Amino acid sequence: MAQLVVDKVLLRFGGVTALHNVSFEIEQGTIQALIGPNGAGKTSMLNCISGVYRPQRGSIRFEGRDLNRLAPHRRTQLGLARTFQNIALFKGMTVLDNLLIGRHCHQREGILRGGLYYGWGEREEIAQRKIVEEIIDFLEIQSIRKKVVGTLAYGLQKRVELARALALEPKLLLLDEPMAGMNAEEKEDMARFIIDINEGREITILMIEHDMGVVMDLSHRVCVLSFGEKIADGVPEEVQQNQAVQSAYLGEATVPLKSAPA
Amino acid sequence: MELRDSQDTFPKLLVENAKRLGNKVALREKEFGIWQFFTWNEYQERVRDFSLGLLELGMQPGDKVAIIGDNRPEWIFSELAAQSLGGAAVGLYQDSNLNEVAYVIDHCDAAFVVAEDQEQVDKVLGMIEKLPKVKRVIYADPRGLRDYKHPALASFESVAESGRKLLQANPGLWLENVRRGSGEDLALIAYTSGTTGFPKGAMLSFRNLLTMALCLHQVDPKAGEDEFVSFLPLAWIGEQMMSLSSALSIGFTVNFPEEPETAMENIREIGPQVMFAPPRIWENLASAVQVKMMDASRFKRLVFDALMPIGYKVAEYRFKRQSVPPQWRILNKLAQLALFRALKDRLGLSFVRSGSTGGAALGPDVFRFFHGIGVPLKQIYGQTEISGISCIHREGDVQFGTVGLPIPGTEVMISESGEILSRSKSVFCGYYKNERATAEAIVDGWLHSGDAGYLDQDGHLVVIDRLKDVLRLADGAQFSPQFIENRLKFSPYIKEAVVFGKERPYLTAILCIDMGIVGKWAEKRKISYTTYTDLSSKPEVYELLAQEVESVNQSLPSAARIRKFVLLYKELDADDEELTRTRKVRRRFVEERYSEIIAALYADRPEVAIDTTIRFQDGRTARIQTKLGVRSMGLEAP
Repeated sequence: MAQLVVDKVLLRFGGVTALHNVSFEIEQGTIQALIGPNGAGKTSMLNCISGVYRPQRGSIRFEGRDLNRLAPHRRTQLGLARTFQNIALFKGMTVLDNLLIGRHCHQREGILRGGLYYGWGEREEIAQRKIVEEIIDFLEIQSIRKKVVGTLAYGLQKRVELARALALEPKLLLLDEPMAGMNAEEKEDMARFIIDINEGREITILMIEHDMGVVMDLSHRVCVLSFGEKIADGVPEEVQQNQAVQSAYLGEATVPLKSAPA
Repeated sequence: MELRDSQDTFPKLLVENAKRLGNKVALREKEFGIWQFFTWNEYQERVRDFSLGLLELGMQPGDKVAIIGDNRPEWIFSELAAQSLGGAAVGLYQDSNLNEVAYVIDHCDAAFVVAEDQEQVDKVLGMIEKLPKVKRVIYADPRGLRDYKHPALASFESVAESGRKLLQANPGLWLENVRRGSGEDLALIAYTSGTTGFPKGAMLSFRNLLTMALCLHQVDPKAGEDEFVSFLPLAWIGEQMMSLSSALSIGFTVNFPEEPETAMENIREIGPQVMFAPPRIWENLASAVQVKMMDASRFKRLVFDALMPIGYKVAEYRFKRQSVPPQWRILNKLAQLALFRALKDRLGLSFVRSGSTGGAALGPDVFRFFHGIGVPLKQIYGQTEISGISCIHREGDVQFGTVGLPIPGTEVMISESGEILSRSKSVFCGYYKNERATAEAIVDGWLHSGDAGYLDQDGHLVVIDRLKDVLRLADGAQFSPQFIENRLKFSPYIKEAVVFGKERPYLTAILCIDMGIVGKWAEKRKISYTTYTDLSSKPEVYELLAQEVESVNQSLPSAARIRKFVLLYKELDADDEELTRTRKVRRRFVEERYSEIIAALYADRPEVAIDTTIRFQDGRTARIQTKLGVRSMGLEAP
């Protein structure tokens, strides 16, 4: 069975239907891309999976478990992590502290034990730092370890955000436009990291991305949304040939007729 | 200086040190945010395992092992492992491109290549069809290599593992191999950067390298408790001299930074007693202070401006070998407390006792600065061909116009043509597979440096420049373009300078601005710019640089002043072959490539049209069309 099953998800904001009966599945260990023109509902879909939005109808199941009723932090504990389109780091804190916060859901110590520090708290702290340091090494951000996030270049902040998501030790990683605003070299690095995360760490990835070169190169499957509906789903080559996808991207698509009435 | 038989090779010294120092820390590497260490025992184990692994792979005495990568313990493990089996190491600069890598690996007949990571493995595998002599490519960091199926690939760990198996079967084998070595064996082939033509491989024996280390030690002593940070390319003889020859002879600790970008930060964490770096690093440190001061608060600037002259004054007394008057002593003490101590701490130089610069000349202003804040910086002179060093400043006798006195066991002489010749046990064994060049370099045991120079009344050697670059001015005096270039480069705004004037009526220069600092300057003045090309063509920037050139001109005799200059539209780059991998300007090449610009400098043209393509690191090219202004300094003809 697929790791993540999205089944007929419907999401409405008042009269606007953001997602209309969208269904797709993600197999464990794959990279799946979610693409579509602006306003197609990609980020809404990601928000439904991560728990920011709760769809009105339909279900999202992760490893057989229904997520709909779970709060975002509970989903994190099950093994979901995400990055944001607009970076959502703590800008006034160092890279290291941001990553350690990512470890919070795995920390077992309470106020008392953490506050006393020596003994149990110290061991816990060392164990967490070790995991964080491995991620720092993995994403090659040693040189900015102690820099305050707000002072870093945009491309580096994106990398730090990815690092924080990895600190959660997810099974499924949701990436919202990981390459947006990057130059060619940064994109190349990011692509390499995504492949390494997927193959080396065996983490399933669902990513929204506009750079078609990247999407076609990296993903195993591509799912296309347009005006809240899924118009195609398949391996990159299929999707590229798909008539509906081509017209959606060339701007010829009209609002689908079966769209729900306002 | 004679070497004892039990200490006449690197591997023998390693064995001795492991016996003598055992659990003392020999190497440190920062990883996962922590300084991890190897004791001398562990150092020996790693070398032994990898060495036996190479033996299992069929390595023969006399085989060459090429090593490419950043400074990591595996680099020197590989070198010593090869040497333990009677082989020689060949270092490659880690930023070399495919062709350079292929040339050296092929030319040195390397049977094994140790590549640090995916980046370096890609270079080697990219040219593997042209490298039929390579049996194995061994990588240290498996990251990103899981899908690489090339039959020649093997991991460092797997080779070491097979070595450990061999060790169990035959515990004495490695030591036997080590004992077979002798001081005359070839230890290293150091490919010289070569400011002209293909790189040449200088063959250096253990005796060459170790004699040099011990002779240097006599006049610039180091201690077993000292710390040293290895952050310059290990392919460079200077780094070999410190991290291998000296560290093994004396037993101090070598530290490897976490990443190349964190080197300065890591130096500060270690606080080394011994530091050796080419002028570029010292210049960067000095200009970093200047830049920080530009941004500092008014109060801090006030303190800096008030106290620096005290340091300069005291340094001046010392340079002149005069005793410092008591009032200046007291003032200097106060300035130490108030400023210099903090400054040194920020730069990571608090504990530096033996600080030296080599590879090229360092500008006098940089010397003054470091001596001013109390870092006893010394100039070193030498070539790869003499194992790195022939002269160094002595304690309390630093004349920054000179490169000091020959180290013990070294004779220096000036030939009739004004060339610097030297002779010692450290003079190399010849260029690999290039007897013609060897015959030119060593005549009757004297190493011909190709540098012009003279000995001053105190016997200090003064280096003028490359013999073929030395200018004869209108008044007949010899003059060095490099000297003027170094003066120019002390300006924080100037990153690179190339001075022309040989067989020309007057001197001119091509300057490259320092994008970071000029950019900051422009921002402060609300001058908008987009690219390097754009910034370097701004009239305001020309005006700024003209002032800098003017102030350098003031310090030069009138015949040696820069009359015209242009600001180049790009930085000089080793990838464009304009610099060597040790970042020396390849004058011939630059002269050829920019012949049009130089022609304009000697014609009465106010500007020169440029239409050229530049290559980016990833292979993309871009066309640059611009007009380059020629700025005249308004000097009369001499």
